[in-house]
Amino acid sequence: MRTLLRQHAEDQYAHELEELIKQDSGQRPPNWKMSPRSVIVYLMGGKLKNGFQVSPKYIGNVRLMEIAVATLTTDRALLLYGLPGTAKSWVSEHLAAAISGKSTLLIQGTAGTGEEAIRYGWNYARLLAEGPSEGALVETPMMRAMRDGAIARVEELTRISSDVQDTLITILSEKTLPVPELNLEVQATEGFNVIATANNRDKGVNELSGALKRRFNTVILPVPESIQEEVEIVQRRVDSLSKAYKLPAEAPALKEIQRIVTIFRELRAGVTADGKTKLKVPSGSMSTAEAISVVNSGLALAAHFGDGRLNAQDLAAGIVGAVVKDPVQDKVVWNEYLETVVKTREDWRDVYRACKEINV
Amino acid sequence: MFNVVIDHIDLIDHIINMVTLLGIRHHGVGSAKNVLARLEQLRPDLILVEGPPELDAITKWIGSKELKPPAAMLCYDEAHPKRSVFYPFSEFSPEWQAIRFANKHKIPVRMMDLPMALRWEMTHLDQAESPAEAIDRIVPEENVEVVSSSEETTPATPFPAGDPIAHFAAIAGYTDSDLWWEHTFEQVQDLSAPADHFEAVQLMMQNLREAGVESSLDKENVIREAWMARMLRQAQNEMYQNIAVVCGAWHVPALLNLDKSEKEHAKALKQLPKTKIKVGATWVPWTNDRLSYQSGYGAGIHSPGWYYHLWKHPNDMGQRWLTKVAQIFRDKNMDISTAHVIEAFRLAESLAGLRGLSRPGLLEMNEATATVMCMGDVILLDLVRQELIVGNALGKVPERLPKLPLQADFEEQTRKLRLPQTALEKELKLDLRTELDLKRSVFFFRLHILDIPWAKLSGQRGKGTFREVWELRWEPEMTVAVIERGIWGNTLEDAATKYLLDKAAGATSIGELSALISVAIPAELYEAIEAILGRINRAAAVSADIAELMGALLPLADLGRYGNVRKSDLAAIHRLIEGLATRIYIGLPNACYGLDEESAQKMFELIRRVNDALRTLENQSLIEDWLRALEGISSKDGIPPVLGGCTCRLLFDAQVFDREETARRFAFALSAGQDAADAAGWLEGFLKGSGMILLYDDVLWNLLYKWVAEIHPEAFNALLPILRRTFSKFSTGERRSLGEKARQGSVVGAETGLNNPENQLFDHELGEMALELSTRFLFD
Repeated sequence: MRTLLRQHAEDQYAHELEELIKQDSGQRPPNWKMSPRSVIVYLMGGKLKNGFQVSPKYIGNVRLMEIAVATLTTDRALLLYGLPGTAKSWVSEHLAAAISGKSTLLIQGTAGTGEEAIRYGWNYARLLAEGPSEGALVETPMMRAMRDGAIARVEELTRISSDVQDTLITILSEKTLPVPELNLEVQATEGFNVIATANNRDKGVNELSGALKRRFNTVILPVPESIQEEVEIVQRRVDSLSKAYKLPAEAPALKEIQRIVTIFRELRAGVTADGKTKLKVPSGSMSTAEAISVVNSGLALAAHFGDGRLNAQDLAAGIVGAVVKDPVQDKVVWNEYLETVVKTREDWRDVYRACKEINV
Repeated sequence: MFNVVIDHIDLIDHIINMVTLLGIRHHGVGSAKNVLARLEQLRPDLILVEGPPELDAITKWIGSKELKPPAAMLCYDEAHPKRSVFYPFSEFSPEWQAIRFANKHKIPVRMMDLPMALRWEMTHLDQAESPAEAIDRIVPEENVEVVSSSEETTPATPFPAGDPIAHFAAIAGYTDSDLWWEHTFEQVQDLSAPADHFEAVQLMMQNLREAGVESSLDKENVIREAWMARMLRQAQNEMYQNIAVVCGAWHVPALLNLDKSEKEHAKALKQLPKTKIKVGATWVPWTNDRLSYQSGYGAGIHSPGWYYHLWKHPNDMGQRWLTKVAQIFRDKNMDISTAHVIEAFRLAESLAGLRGLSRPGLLEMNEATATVMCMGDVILLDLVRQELIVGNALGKVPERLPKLPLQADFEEQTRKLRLPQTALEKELKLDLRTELDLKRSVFFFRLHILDIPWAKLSGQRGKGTFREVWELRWEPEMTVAVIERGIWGNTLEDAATKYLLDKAAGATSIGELSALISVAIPAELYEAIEAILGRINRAAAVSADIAELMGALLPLADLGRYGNVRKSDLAAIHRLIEGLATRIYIGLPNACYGLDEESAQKMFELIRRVNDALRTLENQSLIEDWLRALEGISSKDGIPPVLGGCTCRLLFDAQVFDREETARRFAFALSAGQDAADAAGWLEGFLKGSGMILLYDDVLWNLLYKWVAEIHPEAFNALLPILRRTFSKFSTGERRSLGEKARQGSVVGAETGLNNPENQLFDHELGEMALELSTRFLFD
């Protein structure tokens, strides 16, 4: 039997969704699978009345998730905005899974995304054979979401060129999708809404037009607030990922994860954890997602080339690669950090030596 | 007696002697509304309010037209005005409303807390800092939290240790005890049963205290509460029959069961010391953002504007508030439509629904505003924070009030320093070597820091000079300025220090900070100097702007060398100077690359000044490192020629380069292969400031002579402005001597042989021409 590399949220957490729906006593907005309260519980985790434990999907400020869910209960669309690696797509997938039961109505935004990817396309063979007909029409995920009253997801909205972005305006304000060729329109069923994600760093690439901006409520997802929070995120994601990718290495030591998260946080914030030393900040985003991938590649190294246990050597290359994005400036930043901070920490000797060996 | 439930006093006692305890949260809007409603029902014959009795003399002003909130009652030690406590009020403060009610209906009102004099005496005995003392150091907190009136009953309680309310909040599923209190007691719509409200508060506090939950200031509270109980008993003995008590909710249980607690209280009060401290009290105008300080009542709020809105528009569900937000955004040129307001309101409502609230609070409003109007960017909320959430209200106090401590200190100093306040403009020349003038200078600098522009410095206060010229002009508005600064401290020194620290907290660049320190030094504000030094140090660690670092070094070096500073500070300053200097040495060579003409001139000036500053410090290792850095620059290609010349000269002066080396470089810079403009620039760098070297050093003289001689006439004309810039700065005597030397031509005997007539290369005609020209520009 084939096993999937990665499952959709609604499949991976099917039992949790099922249990939540069963236990749900709150009022459901039309076409929602569960009440807004339960959506929050699904995202943030918690114990249900019958003792069932829901695992947290988003670790961070519950208020932000409340804003996101409250937005979707109104008919305004939701825009998740943030640095790369702040769990925007992750949140969007889980929101769609919890609200509509499926996270697959997805449009990936790229520079090449055209209007037909958002509105509708044509099956040209049939178009030529039959002329314009409903049979020749190719539905997009957006159109299907409107018909079914489900959540459609648009990833990386700002990568899409501006004129294509603007096709969303009618959909979001009039809640309708006209097909002039056939003189018909698809009107959205209750429960339809759009979750888009966009990247802070791409700001100004294809800035949203004022008209489109006005149709979105924007929630900015921040980088994790505390070190505990970030360690928890990394640990949780690495645990689930290494299950998915079948890394045979030993479960990552909490100590290593703490050290990595400390390095990432300190460089991101420009100050050491004890608040005593100011640091220069590298040009990269140093996001939590990158910390996760550093641990993961470290685990792979340890599994395939090392002794199966995650240690400083396995991590060093990943860390250096994550920090030094600009070969001139970041190198100075990293060396300064290595010499003034890492070197002075007694129990970080191995990290210092390992990183020195790589020597950018 | 209708709807009064007081379980501890037996019925008979109760009828002849009714006491109603109104437990409140300071600055709580709901509390204020309930207090008013309850007082309206009770119509008491005496109102007791939490607060030291020294304030009794000035409560009569509340309700008069001359006193406009926000305003604060100030208690201060008349002998040491630095020791003081503020009791700030806004219109929606329950105490304010209670006293206003009393004044309006001619009901006697008394402050019932422990006298401030006794509290200060006790802390004096404890040799410990009391909260009252801590207020001396209040540094404006930033309104980081969007909402959160800070805690409620007891001063300065961090959550959860020492925060009794947290226990209830936790049971209700809140992580923020303020928020719970807010939702439970302050966001009330229904004012029909205020008695129930206060009974609920009382029950809750009773439960907490019976369960042994501690508040962080219990030790002090024992005596304070014993005193409050005594005041209450005294009022009963005076045959008041319907007494209303307005106090922090936490104190309510202590004022129950007065009979049972009498002995215990008497015992506690026996420990009270005797005191001779005289306490003055007055009103000061307050501002909304200062309501956020935790002062006398130990309670501050961060969003007075929001509370004021709730007070004024109790029925607004948010439409009115969001419309105001939209208006402010529009004033700041953001495009906000009515549709935005509608959408924001819908989101705020949905959020409140999701959170199980009966109406959206400030948090929901702010989140909706950020999400709908600001593209999720909370930073934009800052635009409305000051104007709306905090509010710009400024209080007014009666003119007939006794003088403020700062005012008194100011007037005493003007008398001592013999500086009459006249509207006429007057120039004052100070000789800092005399004690009186030095004190005057310090005084002026402190006023300058406080933005009271009575005196303006017109004469340069240069390094090592002892003269200052000040222009004085007194304007009546300055009196107001002095009063306004009163909230920063009670003496000029104190106020200036805090005011300066506040500015420093907002400063981001080293340039700003070094500007602050250069006024802090002559104002002799040692505490501020120390704090700003620390900030400069931290800012320097991340700064990549070498010019800025050099700029910061100059006043510090002055301070380290000439400053009248305490020894401990001196060591800190020297450490900081060393840190800055090291960073400058490392960064300087890079900072000298790729400069345009203007930046090169600036850098040139900075290098010379830093050089002077470092030399005055007489720290050999610093100077050596500095010279090494200069040496690094002088031999690099690609730096502006003016800097090359400058470093060469400085190194020559410091005897790092001997004569041969200098001559070699001089020759190299002026050699034919060099661009003539570069050579002139180099010359400017080398000679700027003093031409004496040309008079005494024949080798250099001959090199210059040769260069002038060999240069093409047209090129020479083009270079004249630069050369003139260089030479015209020399003193007249120098120029004359140079001219005479030029007339004699190059000096024979200096080991060159240039003037050898046998030298066929020498063009005499050209030489004459050059001579004539150089004579002209030297004397013109």
